[in-house]
Amino acid sequence: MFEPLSIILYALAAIVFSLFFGLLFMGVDRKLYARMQSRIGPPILQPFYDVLKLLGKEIVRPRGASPLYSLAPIFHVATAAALAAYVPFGLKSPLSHYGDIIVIIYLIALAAFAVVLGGAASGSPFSSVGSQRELVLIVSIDAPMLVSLLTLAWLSPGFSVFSLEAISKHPPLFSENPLVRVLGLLLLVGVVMWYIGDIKVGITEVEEAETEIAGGPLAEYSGPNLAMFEMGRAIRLFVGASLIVNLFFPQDLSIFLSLQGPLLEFGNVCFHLLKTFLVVFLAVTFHRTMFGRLKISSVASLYWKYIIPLTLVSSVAAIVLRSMGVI
Amino acid sequence: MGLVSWIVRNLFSRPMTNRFPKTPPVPVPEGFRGKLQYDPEKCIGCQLCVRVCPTQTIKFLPEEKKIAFWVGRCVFCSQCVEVCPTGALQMSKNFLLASDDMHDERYMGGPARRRGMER
Amino acid sequence: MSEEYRELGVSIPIGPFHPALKEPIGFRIWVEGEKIVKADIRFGHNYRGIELIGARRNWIQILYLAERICGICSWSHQFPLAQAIESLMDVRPPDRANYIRVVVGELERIHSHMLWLGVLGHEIGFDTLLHLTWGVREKVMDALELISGNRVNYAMATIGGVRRDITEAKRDILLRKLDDLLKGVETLRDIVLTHKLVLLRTEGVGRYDRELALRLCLQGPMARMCGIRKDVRQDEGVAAYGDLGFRAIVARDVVGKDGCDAYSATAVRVAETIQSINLVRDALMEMPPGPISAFPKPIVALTRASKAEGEAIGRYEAPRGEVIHYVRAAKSDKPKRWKVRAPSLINVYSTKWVFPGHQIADAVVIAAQPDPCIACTERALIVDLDRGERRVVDHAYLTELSRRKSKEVMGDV
Repeated sequence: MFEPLSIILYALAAIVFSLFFGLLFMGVDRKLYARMQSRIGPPILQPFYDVLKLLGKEIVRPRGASPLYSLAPIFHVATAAALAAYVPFGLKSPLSHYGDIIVIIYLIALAAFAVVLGGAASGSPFSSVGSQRELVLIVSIDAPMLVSLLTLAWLSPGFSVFSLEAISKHPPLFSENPLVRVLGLLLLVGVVMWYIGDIKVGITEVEEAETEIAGGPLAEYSGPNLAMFEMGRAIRLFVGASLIVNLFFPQDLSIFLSLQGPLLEFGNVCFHLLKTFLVVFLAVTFHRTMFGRLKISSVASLYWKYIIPLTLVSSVAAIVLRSMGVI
Repeated sequence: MGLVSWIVRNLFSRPMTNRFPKTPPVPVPEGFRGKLQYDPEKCIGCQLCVRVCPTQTIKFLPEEKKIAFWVGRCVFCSQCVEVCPTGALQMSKNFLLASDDMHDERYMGGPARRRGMER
Repeated sequence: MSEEYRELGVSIPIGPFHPALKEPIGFRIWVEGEKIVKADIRFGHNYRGIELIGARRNWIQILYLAERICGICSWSHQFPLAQAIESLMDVRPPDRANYIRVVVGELERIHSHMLWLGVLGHEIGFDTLLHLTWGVREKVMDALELISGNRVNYAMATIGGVRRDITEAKRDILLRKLDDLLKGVETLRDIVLTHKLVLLRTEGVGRYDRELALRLCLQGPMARMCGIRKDVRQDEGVAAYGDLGFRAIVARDVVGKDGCDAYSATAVRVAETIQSINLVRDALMEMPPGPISAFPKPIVALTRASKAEGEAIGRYEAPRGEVIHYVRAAKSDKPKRWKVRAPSLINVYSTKWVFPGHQIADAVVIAAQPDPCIACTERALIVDLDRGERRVVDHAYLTELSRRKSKEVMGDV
């Protein structure tokens, strides 16, 4: 059935859902990060307080800023919101009929690009250095993601459309063929590395780098503009982890429990949230507790020397094996 | 013990932070230098403490031959306690001295009628 | 800013106020992309005129003013001043006082080096290192509080000795605390010196070489990381260091080679922390009985010091390098001149030579490498308010000023 209004309402609900759990996971992340360092840490709801407080502040525009300065945050949060409507969260995503992986790839790159624009428009030396770094980061991290996603689509038996659902039906990590499982593991590394680079924590926190360039592209942002970047980041934190779960661990509760109707759907959402949280904990919290920030040159060489060749090799292997009929 | 086991152990143990003021403060050791205590009865007005005080916290009151002080300037070096020949000055263990009023009663020491002297 | 600098293009200010800095100091770096092509350092944002204040206070009072020159190395300023005044009066502190001086000084070094390690972790975005290190550091602070009654400003040194004794009971508690501390520091050493990220961020960063280090007269751990075995404790045998058989550590003793970089600086500091723990333990065990001060009461010391005449210096190896206190007395209860030279002055200026060629990300590590203590360093500032410009003090200007002043003084005589 084609019902524009209900789709719009559903999409809005999905965005609010992603925003809420994004902010909540940020709070939990900060709390666990603190506990691993033997600190008490902020309240779990601190990101909500932060965003609400920022939204209530006045807008300050630096003198040298270009008009893009005020547009970039809107651009960023809108892209992130669109992304939230495309990625399933235990239920079918609201816009699943209107786009495929290519759209998701575009939106992910656009959201990061909005940060670059905002930083370049601020007119502060810290922001421009941060924007340059962000660009290098985009170039480094998007390549493995692109290759991995396309290979995943290629690996799924019904390779016809680049749809997320088609991949979700045949998760490579749980395939019967051991070769596919190995390839799936390599691709998981590629996608997780993209995720780490996309939300910029731990080793890839180069672009904000508080002690080096004082917040990078966001150095000049404050008030509602900063709140929009924060919300966009929260959504991307959630959606990125959600995407990994959808691609590699898409199982729902029906394999454990025999539930029916709305109860099953509710259970699926909860199960999905649990899996997403585990991804966030391992890829974000644990990782940033264990490591500090790399230099931008080391980040670029890490991705171009190890991660991209890794995903390319698995991609080529997938094509060769597929054409040989082994998988 | 490596970093991983350290942080995992931290995750499941209590944080190091003492939740003061919700909990009582950490006990201070013997010989702690807290707020200055003054016993005017014992004071003989020799002014030795005035001479050694690095911050000029202590003022001499010529009429009474006693001293008055304002803890707001004190650096807790306890030099005056050391030179006092009669033990009229002592260091207490009280360090809860934060206040938003610089004329707070807790900061004043010396004969009652000269309280309020802070400069 | 001169024309020459303006041509260099994009400049990034690191300071006077910047998240990487704990105290106000102005680094300015000129960059091409991520590469630093030039750097400049501006002091003077934290000038407090302590030496002038000192000239208005008597000998006992300035001991506590000296202690407050710096928040970390409070002992390292109080002790050389006490030493200088002692040599002015020609007094020798009793042996037990010398041993207690070693204990306090080494505990302070432990806490300063641990603090630096945490700051390094924070600068490279590795906050876990910061919190773990500072968690271990709390044990040292407790030990210092136990000995002196205060965590930071110990007020331990006095003219002719120390002010508080370490009793048997306190010694036993202290030895137990040291065992705990040693375990924590050794774990940290194993983590820091092998952690991949720390290696990536520190190896080859802020690289001096031996010649440059000698030419710039680097001090303290900065010299020792370049393989220059230079330490006042070893060279002068101040306090009881001579009795304890102290020998300074250089980078090659710890990591096999003198890297002259931030990694070597880390290695030297971590190794010195462990060495200090052992020194404290030795000093506590070998402490001879006896009085703790040459004078029964500080007021006696003050009276004696007021009769002294002449000039003297006191030297001590602070955690950051050699501290020199110069005093001049003229039979008065106040110093005629009191001059402090802190090691950070030399070490921070030296970074100017190593900035170029590094990336922006390295700038914070280079700035943190000497463990800059700005509060110790700030001694002079020239701001021309009439013309609203800052004046760069060069050699010719200083010579001119000195000549003028000499003539003034001569006029008096």
